[in-house]
Amino acid sequence: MKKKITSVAACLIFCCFFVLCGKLFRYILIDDTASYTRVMFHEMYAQDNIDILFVGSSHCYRTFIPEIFDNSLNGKNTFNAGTSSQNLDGSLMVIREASKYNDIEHIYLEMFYEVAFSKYKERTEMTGTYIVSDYLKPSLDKIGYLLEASGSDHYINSFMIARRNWQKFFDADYVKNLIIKKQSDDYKNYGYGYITHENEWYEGKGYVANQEMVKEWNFFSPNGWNEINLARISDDWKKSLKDIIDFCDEKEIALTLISAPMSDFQLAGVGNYDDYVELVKDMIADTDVAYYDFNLCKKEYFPSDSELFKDTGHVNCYGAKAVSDLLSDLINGKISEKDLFYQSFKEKMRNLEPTVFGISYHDTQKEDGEAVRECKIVSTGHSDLEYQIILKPENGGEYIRQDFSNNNYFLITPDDHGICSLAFRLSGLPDQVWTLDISY
Amino acid sequence: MLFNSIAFLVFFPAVTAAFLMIPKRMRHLWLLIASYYFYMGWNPKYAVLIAFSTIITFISGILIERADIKEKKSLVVAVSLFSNLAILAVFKYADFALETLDFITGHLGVGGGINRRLDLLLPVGISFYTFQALSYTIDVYRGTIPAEKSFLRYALFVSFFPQLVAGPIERSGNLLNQIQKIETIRRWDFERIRDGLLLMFWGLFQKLVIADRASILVNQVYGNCQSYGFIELAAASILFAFQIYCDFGGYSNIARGAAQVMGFSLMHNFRQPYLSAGIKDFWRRWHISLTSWFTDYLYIPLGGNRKGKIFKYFNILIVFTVSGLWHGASWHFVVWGTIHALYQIAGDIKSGIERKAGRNRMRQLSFSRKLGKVIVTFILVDLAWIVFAADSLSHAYQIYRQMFHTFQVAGIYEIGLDRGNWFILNFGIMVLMAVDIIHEKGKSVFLFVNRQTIWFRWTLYLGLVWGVILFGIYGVGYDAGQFIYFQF
Repeated sequence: MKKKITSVAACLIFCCFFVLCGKLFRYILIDDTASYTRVMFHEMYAQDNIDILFVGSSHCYRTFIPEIFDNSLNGKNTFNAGTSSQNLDGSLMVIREASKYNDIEHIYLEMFYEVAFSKYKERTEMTGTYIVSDYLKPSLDKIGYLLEASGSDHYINSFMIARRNWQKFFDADYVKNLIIKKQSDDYKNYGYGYITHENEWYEGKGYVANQEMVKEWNFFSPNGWNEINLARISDDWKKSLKDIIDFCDEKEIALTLISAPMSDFQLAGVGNYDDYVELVKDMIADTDVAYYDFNLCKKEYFPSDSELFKDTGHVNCYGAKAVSDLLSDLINGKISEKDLFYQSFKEKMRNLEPTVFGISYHDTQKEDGEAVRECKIVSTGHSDLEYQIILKPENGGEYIRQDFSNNNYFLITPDDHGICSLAFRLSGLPDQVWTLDISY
Repeated sequence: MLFNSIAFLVFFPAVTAAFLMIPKRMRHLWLLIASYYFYMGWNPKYAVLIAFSTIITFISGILIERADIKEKKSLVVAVSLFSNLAILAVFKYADFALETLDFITGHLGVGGGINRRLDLLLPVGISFYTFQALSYTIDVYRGTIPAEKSFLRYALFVSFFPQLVAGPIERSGNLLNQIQKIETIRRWDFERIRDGLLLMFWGLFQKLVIADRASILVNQVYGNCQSYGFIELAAASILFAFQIYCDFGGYSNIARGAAQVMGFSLMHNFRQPYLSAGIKDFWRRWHISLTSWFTDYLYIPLGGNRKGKIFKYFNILIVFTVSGLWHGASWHFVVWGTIHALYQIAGDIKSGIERKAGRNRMRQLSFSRKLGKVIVTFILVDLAWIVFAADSLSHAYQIYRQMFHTFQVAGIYEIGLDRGNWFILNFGIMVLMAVDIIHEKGKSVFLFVNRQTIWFRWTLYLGLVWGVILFGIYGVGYDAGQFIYFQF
């Protein structure tokens, strides 16, 4: 009997040391000193009670400012648990975890369309998952989340965190510098002061502020090239959305879906954004769940312009304030949904003056293997818009690529750089021409 | 199911825990179900082949025992041998035979060739379990063992999952005997389980830390042999020797460890092969279960060394050529076997001359002579491994030619492994050789470890486990290496 007890004790001690070694290796190999999420989850666990919770991707943590809701909603405590590339399975996990420790009244689930394509078992990129899982407390829910979040090839990295960066084991400088960084008071106290980006800071309760502004509202960007292929939206994503709805229903938590605003350039480039909105609306048709899409905001409430955005997809701190104010007004009934939003993105575009937002591009190869850059002029989509394209390469010269025509596609080579001088007009109004210079 | 897969990480503890906890009379059935499930992880359909081989050899055993005259016994053995070898022939050698026939008819200008292939997927482990089943039939025929009367016990003997797909090829005298006494295995034996797990982790260390890391460089250099010269190809060849040893030896250790955790003892398959002082010695240490199988069931029945030198050499040639063919249905394996046969014959002639000259005994104890022999043996074995590792004979020729004609040198970190990986690989090989040298001196590393203080032992266990987890080559970004011997 004594021998049995000794052997069981030996096994238990071994397991303890095994876990301790895991923690030690994680400490010296995994650099999370610049992680907002580490700080955010620490703060989340430290809250007395969270009444209103925001979850979602980077669009979430860059857009919804808890302080504004705390002030406008009479003593409610709001927390933003958005994380970079958070998929809906991650959102569900965060919701489950938060609801274990809090009596949540209302959840706002951010619905960035690009996360809808992920097939969980076929994932090759796990950063979005690990950003969530690495800082959650150990639980069966967490194990289940990690098992479902990928194929078995990833399990070792999911559960043995140090393994992800084993190559650094022999990099003495890396290990030494990491230990020094982790020994700082800010790191130990879950502060964020020691990480200084020029224009970005962690403001607290999950919100990350950024004061950069888009320099020119005439983009040359690969964003917005592809249509949203509804056929590629994964069943996993749909199931996760249903699971979140069911979970909230079971726990009697109000749920609202919400889309943070992106630039008109990105959504006009995509072209069929309304199809995605319709799909989401169909999925919640038989539920009490509301859907607020700030991409459909009327211009008088939220003008799409460079002062409110940090890039094509995210608002800056001024945009965030504007959106948060509008949402709190909406919640408080100071403004109605009908007044605030258009019915569709197309309707929004129709109500804008005809204009061009920029050029979206996509690098590909011709059949003979030659590299080409396909370019698409992104505009409000008025059918009678005509474009004239003049290219001014940086090595000199100037030539007309296309005289006025409603064709909005053209090709260049990826190595070509210069200024694209774009003139556009409505057909039948040859005298009213607008021009736009776009660097490519 | 691979030993180095997540599935096995769940399967093995679950099967073992249930095996040790269920009523003892259920143990045969449980392990049999688990073994078939394990095998069906590759291709469920091919479980039928094991079942077929099991049924044929089981019935043969009973019929042989019941037969009253030798002719009847011989007939049953012949049917059993034919049935099992027919499975091997169809699934493993049919396409090879057709290709060879096409090649010959094409060169002789006779007919248009067959130009058809069966393209059957090679059933994993087929060469191992058919040989194990055949050894049982022959042993019963020889009267070495009685026929097994329980089909359940016999089926478990053929399909016992730790050694099912890559050996060791067990004899009925060992494994079947233990299966018959399965109910006597203690449910909880801490030392047994701990030592079994230690052996498994040592096997995983060999496989994941050494073999799969070496394979990165070997595949890079052999796959592009025209781009490299002597230094790189020699480095790849030396590393291939360690790759295949750690791959197969690692598998054997995991198999033995897994069996030990459950209370079974499997035979050793390797005994410090790269410390051999001659090719004959090498084959006493390398893939022992196969070598002893060929000795008992082919070499000795052919006459062994009882009919004079010429016949002895002829028998060696046959045994090693067949052994080469056993390893794979391709001419480069046959040539590899033949090279080893020629090594052995040359070694035997040399020993004979030395014996006559009376030089042998004097130098037997000299360390430098032993070291010289070990080095020469390693070089000979390694040169033959090139033929084994190549995709074909022409590829092997290309490697030899590049190796001895080109002396360009690429940077050491430009052939697949960076500084960290080189360090781990060299460290792993040093540990491996240190363990082998200790074993060679007649001491057991495991016994040595068990005699140390609890802190030392458990620190070592922890180091081994974390060594495998951190530095193993597996998971995302790596092609989780199959065990090389699975293809045989």
